[in-house]
Amino acid sequence: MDSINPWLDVDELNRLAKALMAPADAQQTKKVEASKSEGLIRSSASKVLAKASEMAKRTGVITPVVRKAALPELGDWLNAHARCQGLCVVNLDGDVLQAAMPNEEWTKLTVLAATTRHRLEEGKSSSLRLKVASESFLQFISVMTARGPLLVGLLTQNLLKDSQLIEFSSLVEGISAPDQVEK
Amino acid sequence: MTSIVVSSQKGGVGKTTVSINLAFAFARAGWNVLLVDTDPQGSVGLSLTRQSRKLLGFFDYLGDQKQTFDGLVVPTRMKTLSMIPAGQGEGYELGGGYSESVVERVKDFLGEAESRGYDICILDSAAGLFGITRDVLVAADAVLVPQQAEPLGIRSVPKMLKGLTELRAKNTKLSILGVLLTMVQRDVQESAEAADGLRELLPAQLVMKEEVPRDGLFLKASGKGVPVGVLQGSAKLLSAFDELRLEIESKLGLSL
Repeated sequence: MDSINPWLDVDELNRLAKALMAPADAQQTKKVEASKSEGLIRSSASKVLAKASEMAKRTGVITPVVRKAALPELGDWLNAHARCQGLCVVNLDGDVLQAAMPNEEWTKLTVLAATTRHRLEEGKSSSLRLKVASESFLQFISVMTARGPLLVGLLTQNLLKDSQLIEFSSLVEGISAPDQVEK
Repeated sequence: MTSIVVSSQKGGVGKTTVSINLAFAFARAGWNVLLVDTDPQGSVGLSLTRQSRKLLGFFDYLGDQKQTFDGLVVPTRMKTLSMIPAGQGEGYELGGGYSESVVERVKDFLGEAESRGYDICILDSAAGLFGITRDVLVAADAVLVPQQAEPLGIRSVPKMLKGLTELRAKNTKLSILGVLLTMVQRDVQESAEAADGLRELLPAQLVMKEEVPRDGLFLKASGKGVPVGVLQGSAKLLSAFDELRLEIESKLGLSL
C-alpha cells in the first residue's frame, strides 16, 4: 500500500508487532535486556572508574583516583533530557574515549564521522542528525574541550536541541578532563 | 470481572465514542457493565450527562482513601449499564511517572467493581501511555486501541506498539485485543487505503476485524447524551459494535 508506506518503517513495525505478540515472559526477558542497555552508560562509567581506581592503587599512586563521577552524571543528564540508548565519544583522530553503544556498528559510524573531520565552528557546539529507524536518531555532536575537539555520537529517540548543547558540552568536558587526584 | 482499557497514543481517534458504545453493546447483550472515565477531561461524563462536572468519580477515589466506591456509581436507564465519571479530584499529574501507590489504588478500584458483581469494566482513558493511563493499563486485563483510518494518524502506530510492549513487561497479564480502525470512510480513497494498508502491514491478530465508520450519528448521539445505538437509523452502527463485542468475547474467552 503505497499511500502509508512512506509514513512507516515497515521493518520497525514488523519488529514491534512481533515483540508485542510474543508471550509476556519472553518480553520480560527482553525488557530486562533493554534495561541493561539503557543502563549501559552508567555501568560503563562505573567500570571505567573502578578500573582507573584499581590501576591507580596498583601503580603506587596510592591516593585513590577519585573524581566526581562525571560519566554517570552525563548519563543521568541524558536519561533526563533524551531517551538515549547509546553514547560514543571520539576525538578527531578516531580514538574512542568512551563507548557505550548497544551495537559496535554505531561506534564505528561515530569514528568514521570523526575521522572525516566533521567541521566545528570555533567555540560552538554543533550537531548533525541521522534518522536510523522510525523512532531513533544518531546525533553527532561536536564539542570543543580542553583536550581538543571531540565528536559525540548519541543513539537517541529524543534529539538534543540546540539550546541544550551548551549544558551537554560542559558535561562532556567533565568526562574528557584529565583525572584529578583527590585525597 | 474483565477490565478493558480503551487507549490510544493520539487524541481525537474515537476512544470515548468506542468506550460508550462498546459498553452499551455489552450491556445490551446481558453483561453487567461498568463504564469508567479515567480521562481527567471527563469526556465520557460530558458525552452522557450535563451534570457530570459536579459528580464525584474515579479521580476522587484515587485521591482520597476514604472515598467509597458506592458513592461514585451513576446508574443509567439501562439496568445492566452503570457509569463512574472522572470526578472532581485534584487530577492526576499528567506526564507523571509510573507510581506504585496509584497502581495499587487502581487495582483496589477494580477489585471493588468486581465485588459489586460487574462482569465487564470499560475504562475510557486520556490520550498517551503515560500518567494515569499508564497506571490503569498496568492494573487492567485488556486494552483496545482505536486508530483513526488516515495516513497521518497511522504514524503513531509504531509508538503505540512500542509503548504497549513496555507496559506488558509491567503487566504480563495484559491482553492486547488489537487496533480498532475508527472514522473509516470507505468512500474516501485516503481513508480506505490507510485502513487497508494497516491491515496489510500488521499481523491479523493485532487488528480487529470490525471497524467503526465515520458517521454523523455519533455527533448527534453525543449531543443528546446517549449511545448511538438508541438513535433512529443506527442499526448498522449498533450491529458494528455488536460484532466488535463478539470479537472481543472470542479473543478473551468470555461467555455469559
